[in-house]
Amino acid sequence: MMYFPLVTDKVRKHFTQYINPESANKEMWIDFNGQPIKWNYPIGVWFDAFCFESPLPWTVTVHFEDYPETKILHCPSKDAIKSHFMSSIKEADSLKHKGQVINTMQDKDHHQLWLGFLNDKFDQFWSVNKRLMESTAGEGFRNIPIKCYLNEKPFQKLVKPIDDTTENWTTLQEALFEFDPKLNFNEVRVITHGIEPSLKTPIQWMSEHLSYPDNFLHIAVINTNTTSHDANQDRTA
Amino acid sequence: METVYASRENSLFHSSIAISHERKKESIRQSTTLRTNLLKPLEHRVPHQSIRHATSTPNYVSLLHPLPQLRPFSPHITDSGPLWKVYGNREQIGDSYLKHTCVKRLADLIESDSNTESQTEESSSAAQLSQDSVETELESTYCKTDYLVKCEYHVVYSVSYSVPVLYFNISHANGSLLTLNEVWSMFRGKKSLITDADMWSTLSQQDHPVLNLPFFTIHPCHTSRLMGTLWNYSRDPPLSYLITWLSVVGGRLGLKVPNELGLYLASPEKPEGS
Repeated sequence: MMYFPLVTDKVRKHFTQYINPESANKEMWIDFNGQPIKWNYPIGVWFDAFCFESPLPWTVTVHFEDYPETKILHCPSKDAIKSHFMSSIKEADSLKHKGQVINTMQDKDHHQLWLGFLNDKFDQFWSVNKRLMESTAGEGFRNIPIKCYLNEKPFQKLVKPIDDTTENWTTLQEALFEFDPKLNFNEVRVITHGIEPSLKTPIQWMSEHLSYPDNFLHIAVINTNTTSHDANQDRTA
Repeated sequence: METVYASRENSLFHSSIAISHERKKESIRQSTTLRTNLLKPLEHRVPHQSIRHATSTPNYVSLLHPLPQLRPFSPHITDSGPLWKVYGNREQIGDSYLKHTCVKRLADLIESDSNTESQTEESSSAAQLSQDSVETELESTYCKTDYLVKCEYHVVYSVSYSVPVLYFNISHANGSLLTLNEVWSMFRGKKSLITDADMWSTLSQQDHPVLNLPFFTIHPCHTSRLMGTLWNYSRDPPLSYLITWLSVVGGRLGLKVPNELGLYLASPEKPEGS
C-alpha cells in the first residue's frame, strides 16, 4: 500500500469529527515539518529521503484547508493513483525493454498489476510483474529504472547495467556516480527501503529485487555531518 | 543478516543485505523473498552492439536547441524576442527545459466549435452529463467575457522515452490552477467519445522533471509511434519534428503553431523582419 491516499481513509474519518463541517469534504493533505508531502512518492521513499533520522513513529500533520496545489499534485480519486502507478511502470519498462513487454501485455494484465498492488496480493502482482523483470542472461536490462534523491530532490539519469569501462556489472556506487561524479561516500548514507545496501551491490540485481512495485529503484542519498568509524567499514570502494 | 552469493570462476562476488527487523514493511515483502535466480557470470555475454541504429527521433541537442531561435511569426505577439526560452542547464539533458508563457481568453481555449453547440444544448446520454455540467459551468462563468488565463507551456526531453514531453499549467488571475476536469474538457471537447479511462492514460498531473512542481502533462508513451507516421529521420529536418509534434499535442491545449512557421520550414530563407 505504497501511497498515502491509499491508506488514509481512516485518518480522514477520524478527523472529520473534529473539524469545521464545511471542510470535511475538502481534499486532505499532509505535511512534515512544514513541508507538504507529495503523495505520488512511495511513503517509505519520502521518509528515507526527507526524514530518515526522525524517530519512529513518524509524526505528520493532517490538513483540510488551503491545499498547496502549486506544490503537490491533486488526488481526486483512486484513478489518479492508478494513472500515476501505471505510468511509472510503463516508463520503467520503456527504460528496461523499450516498452516491448508492457505494450504486448493486454489490458487485463495491466489491471491485474494494479489490483494485485492495491489489494496487497503478492502472487497476483508478481504473476504479471515477473515478466517485467526478465532480461537476457548476462546482459541485464537496456537501462535501469532508477530515481535518486539528492539533497531532497529527485533525479533521473540513464544508468546502464553493465559498466563500459570495467565491462562488469555496474555497482550501486558506480550508478550513483552518474548522478553526482563528486559524491563522497564518506559523507553520505545511501538508503533504500530503509536499509543501507553494500555499495558493491550490482545495480541490475537491485533493479530485479529491490525495486518498488512501480518498478523503479528509489535511492536516497543523505548527507551526514559526522560519520562513525563502524559505518565506514564496508563503504570504501 | 541474509547473504546472497553469485560466484564467478575466479572471484567471489557477493552482495549482503541487512534487514532491520523493526522495520518490517509490506512494501519490501517481495524483495525479501530472495530469488535464487542470481546474476549469471559475464564470460559468455555478447557485447552490446553499439546502439546507434537509426533512431526514430533526433537526439536531444538537435531537437530542443533550435526552437528558441524561432522568431515570433504570429502577428498577435508583440514581443520581439523568441517565442520559447531555454531554462536550466542546457548542457545536461535532464536539467533544462523550454518555456513559453502567454495570456489567453479562456473562451478561446474551449473550442469554438463546441461553443456553438452549447447554445443549443440538449443533454444526451447520461454519460455525457458530467462532461456537460462541467463545461456549462465554465462557459457560463468565464467564457462569455474576455476572461483571461495565464498559460505556461514547457517542453522537456524525456530520457526514458527519447521524445519531447509537454508540460503545462493554466491559471486564473488569483493563481489557482484549472482543475483536471476543466483541462480534460478543453482537450477532448464537448461531445467526445474519449472515455475518462482513456483520459487518465493520456493527460494527467505529474511533477515537472526539472522544477519538481505539479504540471499537467500529455503522456509520452505514444509519441514515438505517433511521430513515426508523421516524421522521417532521414528525410526531414529536426526542427520540423518539433513543430509537427507541438502542433499535434499542443493543438487541443491552446498552443497554436502559426501557419507562417510551416512556410518558414518549407523555404530556406527566413521571412522579412525576423
